[in-house]
Amino acid sequence: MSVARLDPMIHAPARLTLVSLLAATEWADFKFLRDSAGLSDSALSKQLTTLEQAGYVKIRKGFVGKRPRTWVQLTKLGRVAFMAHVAALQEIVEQAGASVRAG
Amino acid sequence: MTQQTGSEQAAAALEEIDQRQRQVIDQALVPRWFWWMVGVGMVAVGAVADTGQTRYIVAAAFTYALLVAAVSVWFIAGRARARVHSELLGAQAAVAILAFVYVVVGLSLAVAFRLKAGHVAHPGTFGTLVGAVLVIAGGPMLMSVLRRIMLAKRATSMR
Repeated sequence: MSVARLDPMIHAPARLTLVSLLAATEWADFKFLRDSAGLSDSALSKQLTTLEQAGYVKIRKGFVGKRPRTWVQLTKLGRVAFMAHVAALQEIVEQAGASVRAG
Repeated sequence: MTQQTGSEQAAAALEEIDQRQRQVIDQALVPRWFWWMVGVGMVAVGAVADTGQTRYIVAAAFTYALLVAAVSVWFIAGRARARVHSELLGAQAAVAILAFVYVVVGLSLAVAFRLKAGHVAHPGTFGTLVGAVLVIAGGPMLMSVLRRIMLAKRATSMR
């Protein structure tokens, strides 16, 4: 069954949102992710740390002028996992559609 | 988990992915005021070109190029809080951008030289005016073409 191929690291709602945002970017900054996902600073940090520990994202800290900024990037591993997750979701939807048509 | 619930959850997850990727794409598009700035600047340079004063023409062209470059860099590197993945743009987008630039520059120059050959006054101003109209009207159209290209290439469309 396709459900077995869903990635639990990505399937959690907050992380699905973050990985979806990151998959469309080369990089995104912390504030963009926080505002887009509607998460608090601490909730975002927690989710990013989890993704970083899984090797799905890379976090880089630096400065723009005197302002500290944090950039987040989806790693190759994270991108591959995301694509596999999307493919699994699509398969589930298509199978359901096929079984409804067959019925 | 029943298959019905599974498929509903999967569809909801795909919808979430789709919405979030649209969010990234939309924030990356150049706003309307940028095209107005480019267009109005073009006409200003064209008007200066009509004076025939090389010094002024060089200074105006240099200032204009610097202004457009500075605003572009600010928009891309400073203001932007996320950079769209290059795979979403690809060759199709590059062709669309180059075609747009080619049409704007080509038509502006063609009109200006034609007017000059016909001894019409202010050929530079009128030539760049044509270019400015194309930029102001076509810039947002180019953005919607790029948006369509990126939306077609985003993850949820990949099979």
